[in-house]
Amino acid sequence: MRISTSLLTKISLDAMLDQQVKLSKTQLQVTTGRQIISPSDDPYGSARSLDLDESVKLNEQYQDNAGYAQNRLTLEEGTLTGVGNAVQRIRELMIVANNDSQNSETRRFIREEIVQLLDQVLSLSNAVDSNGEYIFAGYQGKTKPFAVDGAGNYSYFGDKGARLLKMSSSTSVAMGDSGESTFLTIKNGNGTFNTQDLAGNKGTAIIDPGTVFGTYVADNYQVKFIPPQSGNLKDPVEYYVLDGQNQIIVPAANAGQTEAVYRAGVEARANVGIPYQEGAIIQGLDTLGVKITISGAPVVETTPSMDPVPVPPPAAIVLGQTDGFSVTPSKYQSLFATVKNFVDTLVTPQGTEEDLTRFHNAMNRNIIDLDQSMGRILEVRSRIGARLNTVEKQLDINESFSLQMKTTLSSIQDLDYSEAITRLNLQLTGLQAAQNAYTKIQGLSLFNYI
Amino acid sequence: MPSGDMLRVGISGLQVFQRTLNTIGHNISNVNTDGYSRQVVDLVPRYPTPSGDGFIGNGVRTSTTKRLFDEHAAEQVRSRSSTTEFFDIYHEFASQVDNLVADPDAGLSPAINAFFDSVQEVADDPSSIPARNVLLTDAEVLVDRFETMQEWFSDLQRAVNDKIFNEVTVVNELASSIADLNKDIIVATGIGGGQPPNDLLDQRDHLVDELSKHLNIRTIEATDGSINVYVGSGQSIVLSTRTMKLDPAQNIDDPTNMEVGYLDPVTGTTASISAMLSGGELGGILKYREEVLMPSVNSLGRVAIGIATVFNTQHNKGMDLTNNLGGDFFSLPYLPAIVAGDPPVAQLFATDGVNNTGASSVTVRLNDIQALTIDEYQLTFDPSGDYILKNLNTNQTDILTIAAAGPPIQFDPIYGMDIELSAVPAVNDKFFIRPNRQAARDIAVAIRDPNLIAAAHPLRTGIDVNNNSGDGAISETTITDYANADLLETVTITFRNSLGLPFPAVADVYDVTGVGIGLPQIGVPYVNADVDGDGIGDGDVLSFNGWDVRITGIPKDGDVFVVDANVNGVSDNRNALALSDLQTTGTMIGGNATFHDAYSELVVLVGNLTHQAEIGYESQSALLDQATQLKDSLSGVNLDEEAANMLAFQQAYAAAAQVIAAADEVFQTLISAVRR
Repeated sequence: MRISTSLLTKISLDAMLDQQVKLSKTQLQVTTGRQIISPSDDPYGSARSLDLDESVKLNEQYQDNAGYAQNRLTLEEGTLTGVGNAVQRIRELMIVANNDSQNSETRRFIREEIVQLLDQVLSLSNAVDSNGEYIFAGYQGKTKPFAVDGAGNYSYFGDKGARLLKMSSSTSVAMGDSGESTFLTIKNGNGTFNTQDLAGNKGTAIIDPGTVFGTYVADNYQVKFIPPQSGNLKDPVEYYVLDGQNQIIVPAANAGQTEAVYRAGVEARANVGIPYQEGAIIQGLDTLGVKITISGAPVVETTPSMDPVPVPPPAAIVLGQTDGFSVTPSKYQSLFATVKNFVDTLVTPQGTEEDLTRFHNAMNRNIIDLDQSMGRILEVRSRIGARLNTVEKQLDINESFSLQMKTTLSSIQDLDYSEAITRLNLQLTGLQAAQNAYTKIQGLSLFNYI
Repeated sequence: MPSGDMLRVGISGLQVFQRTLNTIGHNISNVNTDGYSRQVVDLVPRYPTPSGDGFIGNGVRTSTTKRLFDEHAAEQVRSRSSTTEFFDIYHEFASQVDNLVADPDAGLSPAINAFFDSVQEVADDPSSIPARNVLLTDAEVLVDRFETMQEWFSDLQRAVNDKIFNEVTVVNELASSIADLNKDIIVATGIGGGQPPNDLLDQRDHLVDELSKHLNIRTIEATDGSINVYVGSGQSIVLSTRTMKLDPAQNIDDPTNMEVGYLDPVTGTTASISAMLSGGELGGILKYREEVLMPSVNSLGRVAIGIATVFNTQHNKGMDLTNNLGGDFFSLPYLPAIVAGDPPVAQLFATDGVNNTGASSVTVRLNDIQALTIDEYQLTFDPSGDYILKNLNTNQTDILTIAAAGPPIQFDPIYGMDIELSAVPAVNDKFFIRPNRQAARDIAVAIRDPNLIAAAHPLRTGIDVNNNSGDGAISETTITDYANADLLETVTITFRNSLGLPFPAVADVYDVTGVGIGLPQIGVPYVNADVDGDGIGDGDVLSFNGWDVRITGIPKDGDVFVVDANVNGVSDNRNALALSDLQTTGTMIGGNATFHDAYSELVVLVGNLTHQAEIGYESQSALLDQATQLKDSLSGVNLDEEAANMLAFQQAYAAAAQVIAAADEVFQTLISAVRR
């Protein structure tokens, strides 16, 4: 085939230009370090790397979120440790104050310290984070959650919100607990029911907080004492148990009777109660899930007085003050209310045996209530610990996920330098060869020889 | 034999060889002339003188000077250079879009990522004004990015328009030059007595070559030597010595785009022939606009509409720091909803045909972002009485179903759009719906005050902590109708025994009190049914004032639950979390694509088309090289060849001169013999 002189020139020129284009592309790759300069180089790869890039960025944000949660949870944990220590000290003081070696004056000193401690707890519960956000206010982060009025009553102005933070597309963590769930929604008594002496008790009988035994049937129960059937108050007094409708549960013989009817029977000296034995489990309630014991001597007053027993014993008596106790379902009682009850209890009269008994009953209640609060704080703290663990783990997972993503991303969009440099050298050689060929071929002409 | 004959024979050789050497010189001089075909002189013996002892040769003469030219090879070069130029310009323009869309700094992806990162920062710390300000700034950056990219696409549209204008000008000039040459060739052929005017033909062929680089043409040669040139589907632009000019004109129904018009010499009407043109730079730029540029604009616009409407819808469901329901975060042109009382909806871009004779005008609302396409549509009121919606990208047609005869006439939603005509249009009136065309420019940030970012849930629920003794719990609210006028009213739910029995009788009914439609409700039975079959009651769902709430567990007599406005819920991030979830939720394209995916689709589309154009260019230019080589193997000048020919004819010339010398010598010999 013939080849025209201009085509010969064009072919060698094109070859050179071609090499230059390739060389400049490789040069661009080497200088930017990117395998994909524009999406058309690898449309799928570039879309994929956009996706991966988004994942990496999102993951970094998740790491930030997790870090934020970690800070807040650590702050909350620290705050609650402070609260826990204060409450622990309050409990110690309660035990001390409950001891009969104390008198009303020493108890007043104790009260001073407790008021201090209460202030401390209050200020801890109003703790703020570095952004000035109250950490126990729920969603009401700019509202001071706890405040005390002139009468010493504590109010909560937050709500039950707990902010969630995303640590991955599927994992969230609560970055705190509301004041409501930490300090407020604490059941009093033993958490199921609450035992209390009836107002007007005159004896030395003290009730324990009781334990749940079997299935608890919620109701307002009362245990009330009556004189022994023997008529001799030297004998153990007897008791009966009422349900919320004022109907007799035990003695079984009178079950279902109203209290008035039953008591009329007692006054007619016809009805028998259950003999009271100090420290023995109160009958009738044990089958309803309530296991309580009473110790000390309840007062049972009658007219005529049964001590000593008149001879012959009267056919009928009139019941005066008869001590008793109530067992009611637990209600919510805040930590502050519990401590305030304690503070108030410390200044109740303690002069007489009767006062002291009332004092001890109240103190026992306060102690068990405080135990509930302490339990709650421990519970919240252990929940924080668990969350911190989760955060820690998620940080690790995210870290390795991120590494993986970055590796994949790098394999798609980053340049394999050794390959690129080899290619660059090859292309340089190619360009030089093309240039050489061009000058050689251009030199050739028959006219040179004419 | 007379010596004069010998002299004539010698002279014929001298003349012919001189002319041949002249042609060789012409070839050598034109070695670098584009479109030049090498010429050769055809030599034939002169007519011999008959005599009794045979024909006596009379020397040589030239029959013609011809150019070595193969019409078929030239045709191949034309068609391939047309395709090569097509891909070249396509690739050149497409790679500009290609480079932008996936740019790690200038593309949309980084702006979307940064925006949603800031949403999460607000979710981390919703009461922080700095975090909120950062979100607003990043929203501005995102909106700016939309605008910048749209602006940049508009620049490209203008560049395309300029290119079309220039191309059409060049095509018209070439066409008129070809017509001029046609005239010259007809004249020259006449003067030359039928001999081909080689150099004029070369010039014309070269112009035709040039023309085919700008668009695909077909040529037909007439008997008088002139050629006719046709484009598109048979529109003539050169008919012998006449030219029909192409007319670059704005598309009246889409003023941002320029079309190629053609004045039909038969009908006398001008119509756009853009869609029929193919090949060459003009065909390439038109195709690029159709396949790459406009889909990019629309795809970008759809992401803008998606982000604005989806984000707004969620933002409307939240509560801001001023204790009000969230307003719109982004602004787009919004219209009142068709159904009174429904929230406003985004308006999509649509125009009435400029040549419409009726007085109807079109309004298009967004019905469903997931169904919205990136195509453009034309709605025509057909003579048959049907409303025909034609997809201008795929040419698929749908007949619209009338939902309300109006006026205004409303149609059933189609492709995510609610189309409405203000009146019955005149027959053949057209309406153009380009739903995504303007959105990337129209989107803006609607709020300036960081307090107005709605990060919180509007409602909170609670129990009376000092009172409740049951273990009943209340869930958070789910908003079913955030437009409900009583949404933020306080509603109290109090449990009691239906017979009025005190505790411990079961609390089997509840009273709902507060402000709202249907309130108060007294004595609603509490149904704690076990729905999921795990043996534990799943509680009761209460729906009032546009919210749902679930009460679970066993409340006791007198237990109180409250639903009220989340006033001062500054640390609540529930709506911010819902907003940040939008980043990874499929809200676009049938519910399968995130905003990011919808944008990736554009990146892949543009990348693929650019890649194809690149490959097309490479393969076509290789084919072009082959065709050029083939054509040049016949028509091209080779200097070595010319040098060899030159030597040969120089020698022949010298020899012919010797013949004259010999004739002279013969003559002298004869004279000197006679003188004696």
